[in-house]
This record gives sequence, structure tokens and C-alpha cells, in this order.
Amino acid sequence: MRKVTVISEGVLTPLGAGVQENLQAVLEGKSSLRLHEGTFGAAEPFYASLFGDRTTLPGYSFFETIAIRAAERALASAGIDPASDRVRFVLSTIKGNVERLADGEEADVPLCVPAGKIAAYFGNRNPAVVVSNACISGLAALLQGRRMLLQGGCDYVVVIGAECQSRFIVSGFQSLKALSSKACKPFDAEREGLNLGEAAAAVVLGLDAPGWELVDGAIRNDANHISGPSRTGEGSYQALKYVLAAARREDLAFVNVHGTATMYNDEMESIALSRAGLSEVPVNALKGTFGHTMGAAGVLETILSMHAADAGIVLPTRGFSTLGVSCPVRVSAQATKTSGREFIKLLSGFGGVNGALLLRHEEGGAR
Amino acid sequence: MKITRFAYIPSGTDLSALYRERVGDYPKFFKMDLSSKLGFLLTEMLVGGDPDRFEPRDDRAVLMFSRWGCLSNDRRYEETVREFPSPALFVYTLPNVVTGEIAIRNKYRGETSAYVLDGPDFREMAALVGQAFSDRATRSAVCGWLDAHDEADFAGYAVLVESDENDDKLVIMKELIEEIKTKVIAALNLEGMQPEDIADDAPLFGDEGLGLDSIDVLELIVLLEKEYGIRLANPAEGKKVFGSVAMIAGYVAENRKK
Repeated sequence: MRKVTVISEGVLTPLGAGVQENLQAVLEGKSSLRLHEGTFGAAEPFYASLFGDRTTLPGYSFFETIAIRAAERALASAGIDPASDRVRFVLSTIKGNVERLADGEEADVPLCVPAGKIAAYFGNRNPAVVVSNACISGLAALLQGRRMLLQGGCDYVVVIGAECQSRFIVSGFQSLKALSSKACKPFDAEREGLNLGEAAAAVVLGLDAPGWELVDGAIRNDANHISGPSRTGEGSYQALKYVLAAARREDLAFVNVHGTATMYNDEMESIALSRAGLSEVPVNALKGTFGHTMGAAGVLETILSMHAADAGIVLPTRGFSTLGVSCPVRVSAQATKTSGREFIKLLSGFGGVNGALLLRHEEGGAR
Repeated sequence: MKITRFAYIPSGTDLSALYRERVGDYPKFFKMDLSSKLGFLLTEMLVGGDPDRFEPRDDRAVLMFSRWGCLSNDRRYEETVREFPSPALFVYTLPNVVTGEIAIRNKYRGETSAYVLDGPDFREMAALVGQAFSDRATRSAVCGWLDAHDEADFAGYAVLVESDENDDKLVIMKELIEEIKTKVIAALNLEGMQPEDIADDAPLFGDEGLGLDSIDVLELIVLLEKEYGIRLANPAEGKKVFGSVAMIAGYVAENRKK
């Protein structure tokens, strides 16, 4: 079977532009999470990781701008023509331009609108596909890119995950009482909720190139509740089980989990990991650094995990100190060494969805 | 793959009346946003009559397509934002929640995905649905186009897509062939060789093929027993079985014990 591999990456977060800058920031324990008062006109203060510079490209929204900037970075080193009819664009986002609703600019809000504009910016005329699967969108979009390439209808897929915050989203999570009043603490005994974040990340996927391979992936539903995770971690466990069938366990460097730092999510993930026999595998989460970047999370966290594994490192989990979940899992508080050449990206989200993606780099750090 | 059932909800349909006619005992319906109501009812129309419909199943995907996502609900939520943001409305501002509602109602634990496209591009939707069947667990899918612009202007249709038995066999065979290639390489220590270096039908023995010998036959016999629980008592039988990877796969598919 042909292999779908990551050819190039682009990252844009409040901590900086570029993969290395962001990787370094994670290793140094930095974070752009801080308290925001009055931002977006939110009624109550909230902790979040937001871009300071909100300059937009002329004729584009801020959301479209960050998505384009991330894709530009990925395309700059891919050496492909994004306008080719053999290139597809897949966008992962949950709310896209939703902030425009407040200004009555409803025409920009359907997610196909920014997707079309972003693809057109690069001269691409194929239908742009938006994968909007709540918090697993980025992972689902990577999996979608893999499937498109294996089916043979294209040679390259540009997968972009992006999210910007707005009063719409912040007020929603406040109404659900899901936000932490301080920097979030994934898997920690004192965790009290999530922080929202903004980011854009992009990859160019291709066939049979050297580099990280998207070995396999799965999406599974808990069929339990639209906003609460399963108490048995069923969907997450089933997704893990699916990708583990293709994994070489001795080569598994870590599982980069969702780790939103809500009571229920982290507990559920610990159950799923334990059921899948992964209690001994290092686990880390990046939400304590970037917050929950929603549609960007799957792509951003996958890219940083790839580069960390290439450097032989399991990234630290900022905000974590004391394990606060019922099943034993090996959360990496500090950066640790690894020689593993595979990792699993795990996510879960509203609508009962769970996703797992297995990545492998045969040559180890040879990139 | 083939489309086996079709359901349609035209614009102007009284959704509450349709709910009472088709369901009646699932009051959560009234909490749902327009997009979820459409998807939920369309699925009822597709599978409502199935006797075993509430048996949990892992082999059915739910794939929903739209242009508007949950825009009609986003508008309603936006109206509450300034005063008292409504958590009940906010949870329906995610385009994929409809797939969750369908999964919960029907106990579908397979893949669920929501896609947003510029319009009902049939070719694109068919391609995306076909790709979703590459998940090894997926045997059927509830697929819908949900056009939920607002309470006065909506429509939707859905189909049940089922994989053909023949598609299934082909896919399973292809996977088995790949698996066997990997295992043969490992068992015979063919260092540096990749599965794609072995053609499905290439002879394994003799000068034209991989150049395997009689010791290798014994290794392959061990492999069959260890991996698939197949006992080949007579090494001479091996000649018939080990002609090519495709032949091994055919034999394994017929005779495997595990």
C-alpha cells in the first residue's frame, strides 16, 4: 500500500511563527495563556492564549489571515504548485468566521466561504472541503487528507487547521462553566477546566515521500451524550484500539492526548488509555501551553509532536504536577528522552466524537 | 457500495408533526437545533422500521454534509450572547452535533463526521463517502445533505449506503495480501525488502521470483501455523499454496483458524 507522508509544515501561534520557535517555547515552559478582561466584550474575565497582532490581509478576515499565513509557511518549503488541479485543500475549523455574526455579516459565516477564499488565495480551484468535527476536527482533516491521497484523485493535500476566538465562543464556554479561572492544568488533581486558544497550523501531505507517515487513523462515536464524554471512554478506546493494530508498541514514543484539563475529559482519556493497555507509555498534552485551539489543535499538536519525536523528546505537559485521574497514566511533567519512532495523537469532542491517529517516522531523526 | 434507501424532507414540512408521526417518544428532539432535527428525522425515515435498530453497532458511519452548518442555531445563540448566553443553544452551534444525536439515538458507535461544502456537489460527496468506507469497521453509512438555512427555509435528504459483499471481499483480500507480504519478509529475514517490492502474483520460488528455496517453504509452513492456525501436514502441499503471495492469501482466507 502507498504511504501518505507529511511533506512540510507551517505553524502560527501567539508564541510565534514557525515550528522551531513553538517547539522551543514548549521546551522552555513558556505559554501565551493570560487573563483577559473585557476582550471581545466578554462579560467575565477569562484566561486564554490570543494573538496580539490582529492585522488582517486586505479583503480577508482575521481567521482567514492566520489560516493563509500558516498554509504559506507550509507551502514555502513543499515545493509544489498549490494552484494545480492535483492539489486539494482541506480546512479544519469549528467556528471559522463566526464573529462576523455580531456585525450582521452573515454571508461570511458558512465555513465553506473562508475555505473557498483560502483555496482561491493560492489559486486552487478544486472544491475546498471543510471537516468540522468539533474538537477532533484537525485530526479528522488529516485523516481525510490521507484518504483522498490513497484514493488517488490527487497528488497533494494541504490540510489547514485554524481557529480564532470571539465573544461567541468565549461566552459559550463560559455558559457551560467549562473554563478555568487560571492557566489550565491537564491531568492534574487541581484542574478546573480549559483555556481557549488561537492558532493556525498547516501541513502538505503527499505520497511515498520520506518523513512522517500517517499510518492509520479512526474516528469513533461514544453514542452516549452530545456534550459529555463517555464514562467508560468507549469511543476513545475503540479509536485507540483501531490504530494500535497497526502500531509497533515497542516503538511508541508517546501518546499526545487531548488533555483539555476539564474534569471529565482527562478522566475519560485516562480510562481509555488504560483500557488500551497504554498505562506505561508516556503521555503528554499541550493545552497548558497553547490553550484549546479547537479546529487548529489536531494539526498543531501533531506537528509539534512530530518534531519533538524527531529530536528524541517527549514534550512536557505544562500545568501538570500531581496526577488527578483514576487510572494510572504516565503523564510527562518534564521533557523526557525517547527513541520511539511512532506516536499517537488522540482527541475527543462534542457530539461524542473521538479520534486517534498513528504516525511513524522510519528513519528517526534523519529529516 | 450501493445506495439501498432514500429519504427526503421537503421545504415547508412540519417537523414536529413528522416527529409525532414517526417517533413520538423521544422528547429530546425538541431541544435540538434545526440541522439536528433534520438529520434525526431523516435517519428515522431510513432505519425506523428495522427490527434490530436499537442494537448497538460499530459498523455504521454517520456522514453529514451541509453548506450552512448550524447557522440557524448560531443566529439564535448570538442573540443571547449580550444578556444571558444560553448553554443549551451553544452546544448545538457545532456542525457535527447532528451526527452525535443520530449516533446516540441509534447506538451507532462507528465513525461520525460532518463536512461543509459550498453546495450539494454529488461527485464530491460520493467521493468523501467512498473514502470513509476505507475504515475497516465501516460496512454501511447514513449519509445526508442538510440544508438548514432557517426555520422557514430548509430541506434535507439522506441515503443509506451499504458496502457490496464483493467490495468487501476485495478490500479484505487486498489487506490480507499486504499483511502476508510483511509477515513473509519478517519470517524469511528478507532484510531491506519492502512489501511493495513483491508483486501480488510474482512466483516466490525459482529464478524469476523471489528465489526462495525448500528451507523457506518450511519457514512459511511455520508462519501459516503460527499466524493463522493452519497446519500443512505435507510439505509437498506447500508447492500449491506458496506459488505467490496472492495464492497464499487465497489459501489463508479459506482455511484460517485465527
